Amino acid sequence: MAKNNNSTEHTTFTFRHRAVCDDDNFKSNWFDDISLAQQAAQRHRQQSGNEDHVIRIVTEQTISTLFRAS
Amino acid sequence: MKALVTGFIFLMISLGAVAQTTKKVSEVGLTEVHFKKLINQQFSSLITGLSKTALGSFVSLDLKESEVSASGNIINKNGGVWTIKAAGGVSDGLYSVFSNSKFNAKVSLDVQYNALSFFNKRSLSYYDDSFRDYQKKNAQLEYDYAVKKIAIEKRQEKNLYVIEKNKLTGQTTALQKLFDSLSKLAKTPLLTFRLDSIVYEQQVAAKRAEFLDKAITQPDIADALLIDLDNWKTKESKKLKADIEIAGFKFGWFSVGYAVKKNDFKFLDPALIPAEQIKDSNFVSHELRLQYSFYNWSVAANESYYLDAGIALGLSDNFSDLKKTSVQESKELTPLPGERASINTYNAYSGLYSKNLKSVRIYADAYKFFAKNNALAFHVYPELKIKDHIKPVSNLGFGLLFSLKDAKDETAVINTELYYNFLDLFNSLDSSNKLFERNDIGLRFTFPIKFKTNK
Repeated sequence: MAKNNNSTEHTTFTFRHRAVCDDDNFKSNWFDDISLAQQAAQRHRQQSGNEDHVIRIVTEQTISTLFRAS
Repeated sequence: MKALVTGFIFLMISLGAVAQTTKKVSEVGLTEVHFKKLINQQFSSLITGLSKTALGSFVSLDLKESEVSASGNIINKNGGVWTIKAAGGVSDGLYSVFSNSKFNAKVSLDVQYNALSFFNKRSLSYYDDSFRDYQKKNAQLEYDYAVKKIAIEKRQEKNLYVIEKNKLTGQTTALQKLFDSLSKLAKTPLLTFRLDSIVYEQQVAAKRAEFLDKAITQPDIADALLIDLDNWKTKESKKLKADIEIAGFKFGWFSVGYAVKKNDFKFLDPALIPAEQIKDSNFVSHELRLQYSFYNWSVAANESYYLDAGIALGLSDNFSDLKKTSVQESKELTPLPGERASINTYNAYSGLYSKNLKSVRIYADAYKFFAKNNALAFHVYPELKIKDHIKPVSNLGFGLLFSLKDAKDETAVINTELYYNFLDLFNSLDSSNKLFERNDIGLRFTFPIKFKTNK
């Protein structure tokens, strides 16, 4: 999972991406690299009958908080 | 009782302290402040059932002829949500909780505090196109703000007025010269029109000069304008931030609740003489709840689920175990028997009645959503009840939740669950009924939270 370099000492953000189709139940795997999710969307569209499908890229952002005794 | 209240206050303080974390900004994705704001929005929407939530208090009131029920929500900055439910009898529009220092009949109060858990990870999913659109609009907003700020700091409005005034002075002099030279010519109808037009232009220029003089000599209000500008940017930014389309979330939260309820009823003891068989009875029950919930919601099909588990400590009676009997009392209204009588019908309860029973209820719910838009869900809900002097009772329920659009309002969604609850799974109460006969089957319309279904 891609980690954000600008994360603070107490919180860390991680990101992952995937393609989700509005018109059927298609969802790609999660990818650290957004371009891989975009490629998955293209592959789904290229399948027969999917030309007019609306396929959107979803980014998941996760926050982890560390608790430290000061 | 004291222990229950002390425990409740302690948990409130602990949850409030947990909710304080550092605030720093990330450059990729949503900033930490923005991220938390959106999570809090989703969270309070689940708890309160309100689609558009903001900080503040909300209340709904259902006033019937003799009863009132009210539910309210208070959402605080840390994303904590208070929910308050009250019900009771009313007379002449007054909801009296205490009367002569005693709890009124039919009064119930339920207060719950819900706080997001910071111990586990919280996730928010959003559509990438929606986020890029936000970034673009936000960059434009930042640019507009910067330009407007420079204009205020450099007093650009005033500068433009001074330049315009200077230009106007030159134009006025030229108009006067033109007027003077045309006035010397032989008068024709066309020349008259031209002169009138010049006079009009002179008068308009004079008014404009008056306006410019006032604007130029006005006291400097740059500081006030900068405050207005900051407010404008904040409002626009809030609108943009709220426009990001959410595609999923994952988070858990703790809920602590306290409920108090007074139940008044008539107790029937057939063994006594008729005059003493019916007695008024009542009991004030208390319940302290602690619950953890976790919701994973996604626009993708077959991924969403909701889990909760909790413990409820109570001080109650065994009212629900009593047998309900309809009692009729007749009173002769005339000295002649059978001529006229009034009949009063009411419910009385009989059986072995026990008060001040300490009880513990351990419960859990699991909903697994299926189908597009999470329109279907399978529900399992085990429960263990332990009460003074009574063997522990285990129940196990199953349900199928349907999320359907309201026929009257297509934007509204009605969630309905068909449930089958196996009561007393291990027959602790030594019932003569078989397992499949000890049941409760029906439809449920209220749920632990406002599920995000059938958008």
